[in-house]
Amino acid sequence: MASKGLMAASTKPLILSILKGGKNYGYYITQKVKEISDGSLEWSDGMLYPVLHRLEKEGFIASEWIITNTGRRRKYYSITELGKQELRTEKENWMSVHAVFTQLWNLKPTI
Amino acid sequence: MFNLEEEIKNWLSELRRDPGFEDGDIAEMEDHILDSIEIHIEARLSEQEAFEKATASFGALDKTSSEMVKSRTTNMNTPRTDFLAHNYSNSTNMLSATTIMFSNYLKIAGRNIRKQKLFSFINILSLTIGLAATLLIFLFVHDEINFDKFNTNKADIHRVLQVQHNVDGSLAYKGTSHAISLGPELVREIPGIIRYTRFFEHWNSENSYVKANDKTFREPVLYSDFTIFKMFSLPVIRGSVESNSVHEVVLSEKIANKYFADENPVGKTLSIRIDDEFVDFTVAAVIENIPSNSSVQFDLLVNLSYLTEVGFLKEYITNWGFGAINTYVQKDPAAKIENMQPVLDKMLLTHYPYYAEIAEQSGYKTAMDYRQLILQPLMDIHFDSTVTNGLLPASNKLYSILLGLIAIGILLIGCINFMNLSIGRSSNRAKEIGLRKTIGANRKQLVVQFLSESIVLAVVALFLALLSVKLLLPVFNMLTGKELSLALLFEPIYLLIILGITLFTGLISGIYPAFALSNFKIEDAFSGNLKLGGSNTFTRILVVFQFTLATLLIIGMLVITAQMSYIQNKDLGFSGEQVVVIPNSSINQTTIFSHYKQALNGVPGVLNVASADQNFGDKHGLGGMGFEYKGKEMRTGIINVSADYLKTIEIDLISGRDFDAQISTDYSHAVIVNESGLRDFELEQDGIFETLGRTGKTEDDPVVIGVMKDFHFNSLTVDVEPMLIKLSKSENLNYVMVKISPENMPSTIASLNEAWGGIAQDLPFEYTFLDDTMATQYAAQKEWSKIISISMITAIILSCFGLFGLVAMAIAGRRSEIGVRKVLGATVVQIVSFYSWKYTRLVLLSFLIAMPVSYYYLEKWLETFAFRIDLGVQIYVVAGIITLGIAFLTVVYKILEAALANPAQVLRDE
Repeated sequence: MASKGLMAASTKPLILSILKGGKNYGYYITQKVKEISDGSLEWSDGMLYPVLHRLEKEGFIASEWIITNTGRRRKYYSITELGKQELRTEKENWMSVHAVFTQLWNLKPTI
Repeated sequence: MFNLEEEIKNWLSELRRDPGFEDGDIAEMEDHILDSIEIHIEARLSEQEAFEKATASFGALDKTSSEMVKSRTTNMNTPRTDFLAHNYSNSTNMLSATTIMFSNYLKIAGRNIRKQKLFSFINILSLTIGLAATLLIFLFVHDEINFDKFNTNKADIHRVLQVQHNVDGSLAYKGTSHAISLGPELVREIPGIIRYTRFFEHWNSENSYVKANDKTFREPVLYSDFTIFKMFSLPVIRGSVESNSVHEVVLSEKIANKYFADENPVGKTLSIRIDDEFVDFTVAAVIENIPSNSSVQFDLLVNLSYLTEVGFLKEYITNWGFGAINTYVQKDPAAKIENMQPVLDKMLLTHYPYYAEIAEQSGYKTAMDYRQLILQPLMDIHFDSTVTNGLLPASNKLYSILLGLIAIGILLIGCINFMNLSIGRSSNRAKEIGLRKTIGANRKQLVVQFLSESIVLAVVALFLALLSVKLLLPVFNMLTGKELSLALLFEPIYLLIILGITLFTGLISGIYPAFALSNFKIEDAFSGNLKLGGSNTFTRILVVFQFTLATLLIIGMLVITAQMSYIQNKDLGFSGEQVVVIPNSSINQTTIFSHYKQALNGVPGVLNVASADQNFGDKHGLGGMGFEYKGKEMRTGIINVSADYLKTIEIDLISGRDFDAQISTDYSHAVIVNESGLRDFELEQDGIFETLGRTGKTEDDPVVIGVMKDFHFNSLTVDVEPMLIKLSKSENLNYVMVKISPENMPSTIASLNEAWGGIAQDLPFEYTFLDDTMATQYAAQKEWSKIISISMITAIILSCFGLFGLVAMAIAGRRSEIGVRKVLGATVVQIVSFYSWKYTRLVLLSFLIAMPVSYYYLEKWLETFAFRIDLGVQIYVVAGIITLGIAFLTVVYKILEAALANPAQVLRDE
């Protein structure tokens, strides 16, 4: 299980990455995260929404209400240009951290 | 049995109760939970398992809710360095947190307003009416205390008064009528006085005939020195006010438009009928209309020099015994009034040396203790009601104070409604408060929340109040005779004051509820142990206070109305009904009266025609003479009349006979006195009235031929003076009086008009009814009784609104209690009387407090009338029935509803 801090830091790139694949709604996103991470990254579902709202407010994602064929109102989110840019920066950051760790952890201890 | 729909509903309503979620969020969460449950059900879980699993994976609501709040406060430009930190909470910025907090308060306030429509309505309405009354009365009082303030020289303008004191030092009289030469003499003798302006109102000059552009009007005319334009701030629009000729007039814009429409009136000629002759005057200038809050008022000003140099005042210029001129002076800004007093004292004795003798004989220490000339500052004039014959009647300061108090009273009643209803409603909000406390709100935040709620309501009420003032102002202006304008309220300083009053109102209304509610203990809030509203001592005190105010106003209104109707219905001793009064005028050596008498002879509907030199109800009172009689200063009113006078206005004779036009000595030697005259002068019928022989010869002394019943020729605020009537041969007495029959009055008036046209075609036919003239004496009192009545109705309605709301709330919380009582055998009557007594007794207490207070003040007011009603028990009984009755009905209406409810229904819902 990932730590709370790590979870918090990773939600943004996670959501943006998922939405890069096409517009989608809250429940799908939570399920997708669970599915991909095979349970190692698990939020309580409810906590996703505040993050979505914040991202929307920051302009990284946009939302629209759609009436589903069962007559239910559903809020769909999609990534914006700004979001895509943000995702690129995030990706670089995560990759550089990743590179640091790979180097660190692949080095043999010098005694 | 597990009911999925029910459970989802509960889960959602929990969300809804949480202020962290907004409406859109809730729909989104609903979609989420439904998706989640569907997936679990597809995976063959039972409904219950699916629901439990879905909600469990959703997580704790309060955590989501607080994150939701944070998500809305997140700074848009999160610095990149926060990258790995827990940036969601760190980025919360205090300022936007406060905004979010307030917007949440606003939202909750809005929901509360919508949820409890009745109470919100009463709350806002109370504050609106309270504020509207305050604004109106603020405008009124502002206008009153700023009377004459528009004059730039206000600090230096003074009115000259001659003050007479009694031997004991009390004020006997303040006179404004001075000799013609006083003004010039003051400027000559006192270096600090730089200017004088004299005013004169000719007899009947409030109704002069003015001919302009070949049309004749009847118009009030004021005579004055043109220095008035240097002394007072009366801006000239056109022309010049440098007096070049005595034949000059100055018009107000209003009258200039009336006479000359769009033409330039300057240089045009108009004629004014002075002493029965039309005299031509040139329009020298047009000035702006004079504001209503000026104690100098005119639309048509005639150069006073015309009267003093050409007209009838010429022969009185050096006569110091002739007093008829209102005199104002302007001093040098540096000069001090105190330094002028010795000169004034000396001047008075120079011209009236006999004052010193009178003072000495009557036991005054100095002549100054008897009579003195004083200079009264302009700003004091409007409120000096001890001066009876100034240019404008003075205003009673008491009324302004009274109105101010009424405004505060109505506003307080509105605030009290707000307080009581907020406290009463508090039990409904206990859970909200409990929740806020649980999630960490401190007391300060709660107080701020409740205060902002009441301030928001007060601001809403302010807007509604401004709107109502805008609508009510024309009516209010008509009622008060003022020209108040809403624009004043939007001047920055007053806008600030008004906002101040509104905030203050919000604070006053909200402060007690805020502190009381924020003081709840959390466990009480949730256990429903709160008993506030209705049973709370503070609430009860407020209700008593409120109803005391309302009762005071009710009693006040009843007494004022009763006194006014007493005055109007009192038998005045004569009949002014259907008596048409027309000003007499001379026409080519004869008079209107002489022609009219003949012309109206035999006209159907005309009962009697007479003439007299005085009308009743004149603002200067009845003319007469004062003289020394058996060692005392006495006064009697004297009216010179034509033969049919007594018949025309239906004055009854107690003894003796009416004048007889056939007896020639009636013209020279007969008087009819009233009862007061008979008593005060110790006369006898057929006896001689010695002092009236003006020549001093015994053979000229008149004989009393009849005694008439006392009749009220003056306002009922004063006693009946001695009066006598003399028969006059003159056809040129000032007024023609025609008694007409009540039937076919319009056609009779038309005949009068027709007859008039045959006699004086170039004068407009204008008339008044004698009883109307009498009624104008009470115009001020009537206006006041109207204003007080309206305030009183407002106050009682507001109080009842409050009481209604209070009872409604208290009863709402006791429905089950009432149900249980019914089940246990209580009858409807028992229930109603039990609960209504709880409230009615408060109103009863208010009544007991209001009684002595009102008695004190109303007794004082009634003392200003010579003829008045007594403050009897019956007024209080009526007031009591009204107050208690209305309050009782209000209470019973609400209680009855609860008492009649089927207990089975009520208790099942519980």
